[in-house]
Amino acid sequence: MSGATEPMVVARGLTRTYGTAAAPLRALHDVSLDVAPGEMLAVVGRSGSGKTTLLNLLGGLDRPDAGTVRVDGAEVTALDDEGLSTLRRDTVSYVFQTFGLIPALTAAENVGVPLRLRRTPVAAREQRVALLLDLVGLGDHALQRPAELSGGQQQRVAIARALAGSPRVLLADEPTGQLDTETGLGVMALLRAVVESEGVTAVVATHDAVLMSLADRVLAISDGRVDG
Amino acid sequence: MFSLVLRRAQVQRRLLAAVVVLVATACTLVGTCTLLLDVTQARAFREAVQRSDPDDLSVTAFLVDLTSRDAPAARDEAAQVVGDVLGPMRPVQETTLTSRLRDLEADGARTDSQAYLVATDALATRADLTAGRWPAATGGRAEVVVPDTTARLLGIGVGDEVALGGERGLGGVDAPVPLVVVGTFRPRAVLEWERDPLGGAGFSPAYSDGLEAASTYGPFVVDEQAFLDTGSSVNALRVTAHPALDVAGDSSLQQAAGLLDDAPGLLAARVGDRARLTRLASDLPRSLAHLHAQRASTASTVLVVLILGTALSLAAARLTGRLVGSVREDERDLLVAMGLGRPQQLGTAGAEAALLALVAGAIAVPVASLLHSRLTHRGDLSAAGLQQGPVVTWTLVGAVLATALLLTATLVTATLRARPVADPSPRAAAAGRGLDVLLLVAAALAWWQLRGQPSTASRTGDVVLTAAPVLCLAVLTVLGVRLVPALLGRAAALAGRARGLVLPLATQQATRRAQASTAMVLVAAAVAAAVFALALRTTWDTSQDDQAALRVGTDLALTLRAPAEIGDARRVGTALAAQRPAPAASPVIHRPLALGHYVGRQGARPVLVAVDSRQAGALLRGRLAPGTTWAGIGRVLAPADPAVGVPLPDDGAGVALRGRGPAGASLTARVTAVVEDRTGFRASVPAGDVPLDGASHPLRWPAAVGPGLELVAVRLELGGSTGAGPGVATATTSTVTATLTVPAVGGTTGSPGSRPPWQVRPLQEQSPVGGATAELHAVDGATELRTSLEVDLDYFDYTGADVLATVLPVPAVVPVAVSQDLVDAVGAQRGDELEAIVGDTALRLSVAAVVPDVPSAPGEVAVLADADTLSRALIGAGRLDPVVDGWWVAAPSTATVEAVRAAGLGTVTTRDGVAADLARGPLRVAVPTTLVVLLALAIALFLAAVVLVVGADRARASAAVVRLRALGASRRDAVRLQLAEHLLLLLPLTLVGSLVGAASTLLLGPHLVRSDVGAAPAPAPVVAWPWRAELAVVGGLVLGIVVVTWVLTALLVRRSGPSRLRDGEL
Repeated sequence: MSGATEPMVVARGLTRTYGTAAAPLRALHDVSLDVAPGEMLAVVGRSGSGKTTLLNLLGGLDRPDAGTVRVDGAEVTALDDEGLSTLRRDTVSYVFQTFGLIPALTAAENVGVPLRLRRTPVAAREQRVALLLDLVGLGDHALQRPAELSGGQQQRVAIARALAGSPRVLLADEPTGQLDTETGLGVMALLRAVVESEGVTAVVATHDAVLMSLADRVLAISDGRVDG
Repeated sequence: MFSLVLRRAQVQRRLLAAVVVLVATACTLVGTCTLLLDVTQARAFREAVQRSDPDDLSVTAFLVDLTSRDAPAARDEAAQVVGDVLGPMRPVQETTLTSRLRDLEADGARTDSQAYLVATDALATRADLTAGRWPAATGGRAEVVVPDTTARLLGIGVGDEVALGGERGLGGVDAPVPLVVVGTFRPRAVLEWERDPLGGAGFSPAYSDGLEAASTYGPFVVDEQAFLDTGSSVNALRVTAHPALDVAGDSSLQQAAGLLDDAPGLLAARVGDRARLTRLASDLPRSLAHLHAQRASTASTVLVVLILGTALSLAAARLTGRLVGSVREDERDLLVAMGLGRPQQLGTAGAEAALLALVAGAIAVPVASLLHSRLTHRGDLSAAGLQQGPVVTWTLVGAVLATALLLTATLVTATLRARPVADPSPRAAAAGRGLDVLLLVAAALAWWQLRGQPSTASRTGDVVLTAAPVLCLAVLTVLGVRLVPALLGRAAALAGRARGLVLPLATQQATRRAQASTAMVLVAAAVAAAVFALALRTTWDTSQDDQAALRVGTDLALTLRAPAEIGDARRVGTALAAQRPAPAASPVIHRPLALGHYVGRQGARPVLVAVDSRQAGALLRGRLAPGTTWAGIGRVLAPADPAVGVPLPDDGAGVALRGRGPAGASLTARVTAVVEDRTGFRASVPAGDVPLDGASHPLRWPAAVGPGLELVAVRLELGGSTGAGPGVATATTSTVTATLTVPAVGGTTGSPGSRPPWQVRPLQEQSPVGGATAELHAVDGATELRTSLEVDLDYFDYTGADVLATVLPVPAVVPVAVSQDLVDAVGAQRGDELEAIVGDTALRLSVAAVVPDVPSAPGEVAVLADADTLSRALIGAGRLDPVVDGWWVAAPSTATVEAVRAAGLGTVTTRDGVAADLARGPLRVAVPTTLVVLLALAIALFLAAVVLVVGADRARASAAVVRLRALGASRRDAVRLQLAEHLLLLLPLTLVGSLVGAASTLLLGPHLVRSDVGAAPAPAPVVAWPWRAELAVVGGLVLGIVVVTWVLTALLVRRSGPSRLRDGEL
C-alpha cells in the first residue's frame, strides 16, 4: 500500500543485539520498514529470525541498539518510560501468542483492563467491553474465566482486549501459534475483520501461510535482516 | 536418576541453597532446644543442687540416751551408716554430743538453775570466738567455752572456774564436772543452732526437757574427749553427713534416696541396745522430688515450644516444597511423559531429601551448638550460672538429623504433588468443611483436657500439657486462615466497581493465589506463634511474680526459729534504722490454728497470719478482687484505739512491787510483765516472785529488758498460805493488794487521768477472786498501779489466784479476713463467727472480709488478722507466751535486706528473691529462654515465608509484568499492582495470626503456667499483655512484609524485560 499519507509506523535502521560482548547474539540488523495507516503487514520468518524482537521495538517494549521507530508521528525511541506507557495505553496494543489473559479475571474483566488503565468511567467501560465481546463473538462468555474458555476463545478475548483502548496500531505476535488450523483461521479472519472495521494498522508476526494471505503485505525476515 | 539429582542440584543451586538454609534454621532451633532440654537441664540440675541448702540434702542419725562409755562405738556405727548412704558424694560429717541437764552450782552449792554440756566438731564453723580460745583436751580440769549471753548472765569470763553438779532426773550421773572457761563465743546464725536445746540463745528462763522447767544456761562446750572423760550421760548423739554439693548429681542423689529406705533399720541394728532410741532423718527424698518436679515442669513447657517450632518448620517445608515443585513442574511433566514411574519419583525424591538433610544437618549441628553456647552466656541463662561451651552430643546429632530428614522429606514430597486446584469441587469443599469441624472438636477437647488438669503436680498431665496447646494453636490458625479468602473475595467484589486497575486486579490475584493454603497457614501461624510466645512469656513472668508475692506475703519476710523476744525486736529495729524514709514493718504471727472441728487436710492445717493491719496497704502483697485493696482490708481488721501503757525505765530499773495479804497469810506473787515497744511489738517478761509482806520489793528481771518499753499488762500469780490451811473455813473474803511502782521516765509521770483505764481479769475459769480493781496513780516521781483483789480465802489455798491487770481493751471477737479456700472448706461467709484454737487458746473470730488468698498462705485455708487485736485477745485469755514468729518489711532497700540478714535472727526471704528463683532459677530459666527462641524462629520463618510467597515463580510474575506493561501499565502501576497483591494477601494473614495468637494466649496461656513443682500456681495465672512489645513485634512484621515485598517487587519489575513474554501465562 502506498500513497501521499504519512506512514503510521516508520522504522529505520533498527539493530538489536542480545547476549554479552564476548558472545553477542544479533537479533535484528539494520531493519527499516514503513506501515501505512489501515494496512495489515505480515512479518514472516523462521523461529528466531527476529520477528518478536521487531514487534517489541515497534511497540516500545524494548529499545534498539541503533535505529529509530516512529508510530503515529511519535518518536518511540525517544520516549521515556512514562511516554512509552502512554503510547501503549493510547496508540499501540498487543496480541500475544500465549494470549496473556489474567486467570483471576473474567473475560469481560480482561477486556476491561486497558480501560481501567485509562480510568474510563465504569458505565462507559462496561458498554465498551460488551460491544467488543459481541464483536469477537463472545458476548455469552463474559463472566467466564480464561481457564473455562478454549484456546480460540481466549485469543478472541485477547483481541477484544487489544481493541478496547481504540488503538491506532495493533501488534500481534504469532496470534495463532497455539491454535489448531481451523481455530487459527477463525482468529485470523476476526483479526482481518476488526482491522478493517476499526481502521487499525496491524503488524502481525506469523509463519502461517493462511494469515499471510490475509495480509495486505508480507515482510520476510531471516537472521535479523529483511529479505530482499 | 542419582546423576539427574546432582545435575539438577547444580543448576538449581541457589534454590536449593535457600532450601538448605530454611531446613538448617529449623534444625538449629530443634538442636538448640534439645541441648536446652538435655545438657542445660542436666547442668541446671547440678546448679540447683549446688544452690540447695546443705541441710536439705544431709542425712542425720539421732541416738538418744547413751552412756559415755558406749558413745564412741555408737558414734562410729552411726557415722558408717550415714556415710554409706551418701557414699559417692564425699560426705562431710559432724558429730554433736549433748549431755543430760545438770545442776548449775554456784560457790560449790546447788542452785535452781540447770546447764548442759556439749561436744561438737562443728563449733568453729557455727560460732565466732569473742574471747579466749577454743577448748582442747587437757586431761585435767575440762576446758569449756560458753556463749556470750551465758557468760554475761552468769558473770563468768575467761579463766573463771565453774562446776556443773549432778545430772537431773532418775539414774543420772552424780559426779560433778569441774570446768575452766577458756573462751566465749557468739553463735553465727540462729538457724544453725536449731538443734541446740536452747537454740543458741544461751539462756532460757523456763526450759524443760520433760522434767521440771527451770532457768537453763548453755551450752557449755567442751572437747569430745573431755566430754567422754566426765562420764556424763549422753542425752543425744547426732551424726550428720552433708554431701559435697559439687559432686552431687541426679544419679547419686537418687541412689542415696533409695538407700535411705533401709538405713533406719540398719542404724538400729548396728547401734543395738547402746542407745534407747535411734532415728534417721533426711529431707533428701523430698528435696530430690522437688527438683525433679521442677525439671519435669520446665521440660514440659520447653517441649510445647519445641513442637510448636517444629510444626511451623513443617509448614515452611511444605510451602517451600510447593514452590520448588512449581519451578520443576515442566521438568516433572516431561519426565513423567517419558515414562518416569511413581516409585522412581519417590526414589529420586528420597535421595534428594537425604542429601539435603545431610547438608542441613551438617550445618545445623555446629550452629546449634554455638547458638546454645552463646545463649547460655547471655542474659538469664548466664545469670542462672548455666554457662556452657559449645558441645555436641549424640542426642543433638540424632534430633537434628531426624528433624532434617522429616523436613526435607516433607519438602521433597510436596514437590511431587500436583498443583493445587484453585476451585475445589463441591465434594472436596464439603469434605474440607467436615474436616474443619473435626479439627475444631479435637481442639475443643484438647483445651478441655488442658483446663481440667489437676491442681497438684501430675505426671499424667504432662502429655496433655504438651500436646493440647500445639493442637489448639494449629487448629485456630487453620480455621482463622479460612476467613481470609472469604474476606478477600468480598473485597474483590467491592473493588471490581472501581475505575482503576490496581486494586481490583490485586484483590482478584490475592484471592486466587495458587499456593495460598500452605503459605497462608505458615504466615498466620508464624505471627500467631510470635504473639503467643511473647504474651506467654510475660504471663509466665507475671505469674512467677504473683506467686512470689503471695508466697512471701510482703517484700521481705524474716522468719524466726523461735517466737520473738524483746532483744529480737530491738535487733530488727536496728537493722531497719538506716533506711530513710523508714520502711513499713510489722511483727507477724504466722502459725497453724484449728477452726472449730475443722483441722485441715493432712499436711495442710489452717493458717493464722496476723500483721499490723494499719500498714496492710504498704505491707501486704497478693492479688485481690478488682476494687479491693489491702489497705481497705486492713481498715476493717484494725483495732479502734492504740494501747497506751506505762513507760518503763531503761532495763526496768527501779520497778518494784509492794503487796499485802490478810493478816497471818504468807502470800507471794509471781510477776510477769507484758511490755510493748514503739513498733507495737509485745513480749512477756518474767519478773520473779515477790512476797506480799507489805514491803516494796524490786522486780528481778532475768536479763536487761532494754529501753523504750511500755508496760501494758501485769500478770500476778498469787500463791502461798492464807494461814488457815486448805479446807478450813474462814468467814470472809479478804482483800489482797498489790501496788506496782514504776519510776518516772525522764523525771515526769504524766497525768494518769489522761490515760486509758486499767482493768483486772481473773484468768482462771473458777477463780477465788471476786471483785478486783486497778488504778493508776501519780506519786512523787513515779507511777503506781494499785491493784486490789477480793479473794475468797476458802478456795485460795486450793487454787491460788491468777489475775491479769491490763490497759489493753480485750476484744470479744477478733475480726479476720478469710481465704476463699476457707470459705469453700467450712462454708463461712462474711459476718459469720468462727471458733478457733490458737495453741491452746480458744478465740472467737468474726469474718470481716473474704480474700482470694491470705498473704504467705497461697492456696491454703487461712485467716488474716490484726496482730495487735490478736495479741490483745491472747493476752486477755492469759496467753502471755511470745507469739511473734517474724517480721515483715515493705520496700526494703538492698542495705536493709543485708542488715536484716546480718542480724542472724532467722530465715530472710525477699519477694524479689523468690520471684527470681521461680522465674530465673537454674531449673526454670529454660522456659523464658525457649519462648524467646520460639519468638526468634517465628519471626525468621515469617520473613522466609514472605520471601517465598513474594518471590515465588518469578518467571510467571515477570511475564505478567511485561504483558501488563504491554497493555499500557506504567512501571509504577506494575510495582503498585504487585505490592498491593502481596500486601492484600499478607496483611490480613498477619491480622488473623495476631488474633489467633491473642486468642491462644487467652485460652491456653493460664493453663500452661504451672508452679515450680508442676502444680497449679497460686494465685491462678491471668494473662498479662506486653502491649508495647506485641505492637513492636507485629509492627515489625508488617514493616518486614512491606520492605521485603517492595524490594522484591521493585527488582522483579526492573528485571522484567520482553524476553519474559513467552514464559507461561500471566
